[in-house]
Amino acid sequence: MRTPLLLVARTLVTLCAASVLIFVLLRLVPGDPAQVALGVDATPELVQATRERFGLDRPLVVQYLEWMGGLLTGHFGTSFVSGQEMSAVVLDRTAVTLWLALPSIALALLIATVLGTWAALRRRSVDGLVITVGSQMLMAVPGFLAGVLLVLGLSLGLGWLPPSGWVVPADDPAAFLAHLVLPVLALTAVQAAILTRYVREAMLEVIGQDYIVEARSKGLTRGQALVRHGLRNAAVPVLTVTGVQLSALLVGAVVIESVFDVPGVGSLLVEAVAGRDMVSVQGIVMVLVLITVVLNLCVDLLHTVIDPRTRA
Amino acid sequence: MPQPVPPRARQRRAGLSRSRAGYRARSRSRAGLAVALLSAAMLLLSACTAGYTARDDAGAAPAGSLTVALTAAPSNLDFTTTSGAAIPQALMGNVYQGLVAVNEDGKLVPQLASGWQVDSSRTVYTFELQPGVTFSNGDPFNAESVKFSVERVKSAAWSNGLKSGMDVVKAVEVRGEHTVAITLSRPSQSWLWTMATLVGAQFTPNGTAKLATQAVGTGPFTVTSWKPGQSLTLTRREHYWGQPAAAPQIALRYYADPTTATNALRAGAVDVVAGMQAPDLLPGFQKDAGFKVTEGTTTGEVVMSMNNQKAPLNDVRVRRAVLHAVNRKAVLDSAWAGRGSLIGAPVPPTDPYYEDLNNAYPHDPAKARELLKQAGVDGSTITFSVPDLPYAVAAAQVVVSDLKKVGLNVKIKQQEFPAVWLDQVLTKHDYQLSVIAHVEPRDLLSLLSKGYYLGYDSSRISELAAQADAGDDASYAANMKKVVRRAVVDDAVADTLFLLPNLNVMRADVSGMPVNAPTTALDLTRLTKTGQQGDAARSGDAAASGNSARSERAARSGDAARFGDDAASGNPASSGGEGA
Repeated sequence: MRTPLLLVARTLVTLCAASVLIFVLLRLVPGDPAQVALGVDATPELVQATRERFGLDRPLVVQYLEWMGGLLTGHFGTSFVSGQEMSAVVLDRTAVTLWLALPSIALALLIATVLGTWAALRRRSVDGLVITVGSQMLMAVPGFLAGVLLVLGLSLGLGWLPPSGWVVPADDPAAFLAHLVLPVLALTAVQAAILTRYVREAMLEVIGQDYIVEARSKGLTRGQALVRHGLRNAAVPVLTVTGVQLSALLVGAVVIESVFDVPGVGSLLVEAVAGRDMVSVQGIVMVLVLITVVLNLCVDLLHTVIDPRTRA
Repeated sequence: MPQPVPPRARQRRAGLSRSRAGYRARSRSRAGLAVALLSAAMLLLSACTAGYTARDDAGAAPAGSLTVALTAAPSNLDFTTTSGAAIPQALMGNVYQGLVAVNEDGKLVPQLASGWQVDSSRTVYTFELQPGVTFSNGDPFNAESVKFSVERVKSAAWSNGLKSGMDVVKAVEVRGEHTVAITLSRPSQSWLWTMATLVGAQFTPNGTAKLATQAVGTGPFTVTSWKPGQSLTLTRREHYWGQPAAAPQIALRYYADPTTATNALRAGAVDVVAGMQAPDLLPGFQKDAGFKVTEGTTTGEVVMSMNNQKAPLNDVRVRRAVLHAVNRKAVLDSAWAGRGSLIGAPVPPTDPYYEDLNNAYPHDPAKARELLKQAGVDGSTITFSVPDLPYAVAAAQVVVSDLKKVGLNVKIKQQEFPAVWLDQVLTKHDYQLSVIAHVEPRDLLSLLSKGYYLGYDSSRISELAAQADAGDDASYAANMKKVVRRAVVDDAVADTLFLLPNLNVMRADVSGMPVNAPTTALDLTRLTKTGQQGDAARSGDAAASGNSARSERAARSGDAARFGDDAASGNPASSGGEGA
């Protein structure tokens, strides 16, 4: 049981370090929530009174410990900007983003595995080249452009899908799915292009290995050898990249959230940073750090499943 | 490379060994898997309700309800402690009301006060209140609640800087259930007008405990759902004292991206896009018979500030040179696709002391060069602190090239708005040139006030301003015009680049959307879809409902002529709003 304990300890240390870092950084960047609240009509006296009302005049250590105490009891704190308790909001908005990110990355991985393998196998033929160049080009397409084009084509043009908005899944599952399709497609397109490149490269790396030659020599076709023995080996670097892409997608989806008017955690974070809503920013960052840590754990676990050599 | 065909048995063996390895791996990481499954189950649970904190929970919208798309979302519902236009835009007039109100033409009209008298010293205002008015929590509106509301502004409970508008009030006296007398320390023309803004909003003592999240007012709507950053739903009140709102429910939806908002309009998800921020999207709607576009005025003056305290802009000749050098027409074309108006001073045409000052500093690079030469600052470099807002960035680019042509090198320093800009420019005055839209109505004197970031020497106008405020209706407008001429023309305090337009796009069957925005409030009481509700014909304001023309540039000059009527006095218009 040494390893699980170590994992938990590592996670806790990461979270603690992240909490100190974000707390300090937020107070180092210029801009003051009291100033933002009072805008262009502020007077120094009113700003000071507002800082006191927000509790920002207290020693930093006290503020930090109060926040930590709240976190330990599951409370992110009450935003002094919106007056809301942020725990439920942050978790819920994160769930929305996961609805976008998880299906997108799964779909992208599926597409990338097929296309990347194909492109590696047929790297000297026209179709392989088309995939390589196509993925290169799609990688250069900004996510929002993919989104805007999808809206123009499938929504405003053909009228198949709603152009924007969000429906709570439990309220109306069909409408929920209809609203989910376009943003997920927009995210998938770019992610699939990126992952295709990685799959292709990993496969090319694998193709020259001895075990493939051996698999071929025992009678497998090139394709069979790659699918049976190559994919698994190629999966190791691809998995690592997928993990990184997924963490990046949680905040990176903010552009797609804006184009499709999806209430995800990315837009919540952007709003919170703009308003210097420290309580919200801190809560969101902690959730994102936690998710990233868990993702890395999952990737590590999957590595041991895929590659016996990494097992202790 | 010819290879032998593989026997099927070998294939199976290969497969078998792989799955055995997989099994071992799974058994070793069983604990990890259990954790993963548990968290997956929790995720699934929250996944089913994902977005509930962001979506309207006001229930199914009744027939005749509308959805209005807006840009800037209120950060909370409490304008007593939070400044900015977003909160009063949603709540003033709709949820909160004042004793008086400003109508769409910029005139003062009675609201919760049925009438008022001013004594001969012009310091005692006696208001007769509307009888039978209740707050949405059931409390009666009466002289006591007026006293409470006015005195609360003067207390520490208010921290919005606009509270200074109430400084002049000396005493509030209850003279009966529906009669209240408010005594000023000196005659003040601006005070009654201030009472029509959010500073004059009427509260009940039992309704101020949770202002940030619960709004209790006397207005025709109540807030039935509020999702910060996302939406705010107004539902018609059953026991409203006046004429009920035309629509049973109006949802305000906040879109960060203007294209997303107009796409939602095309798809029928919203009925109106109000205060459009992307004028280049309008022509497509103007050509489409299914939609109409209105263009009116706002109080948003886009002011390019020149730090009057810092060299080289502390020299009036340099500021004059800048005013001559910048081609404001080109700035407007670039920043707002030519919509909006050139006003020449931070005074919108809806104000009683507006006059067309566009000719005070005509675009004249030669003259600018000469002034710079006199001041001896040829070839120096100025830093331009530009907030990261689309219009500001677009305007700054034109300004930089115009100033370069007259020999002033300008370095752009982009700043995050609001946080960094408020800190560096507004609070620390650490800037030379900057630009921002000032949206508060009648904010000229606060722009010129002592210690404000423009750095104007307010002693130059304080006497005139005091005379104006203390004078009667006629001398108010006349003296305020003198203030404007002294500060804007003589002292070249700042360069007012243009006035933001109020651009609304809506479905053709929508009526009752105000064309102009003379205060920050967005009056939604007459908004309705025709054919759905019999109320359209009742729409009070001709300007609000009757303006169904598709492009309103022509209609706008008509509006401008009407604005001229002094809010307080009925002075004739000085001139129309069309600057270019």
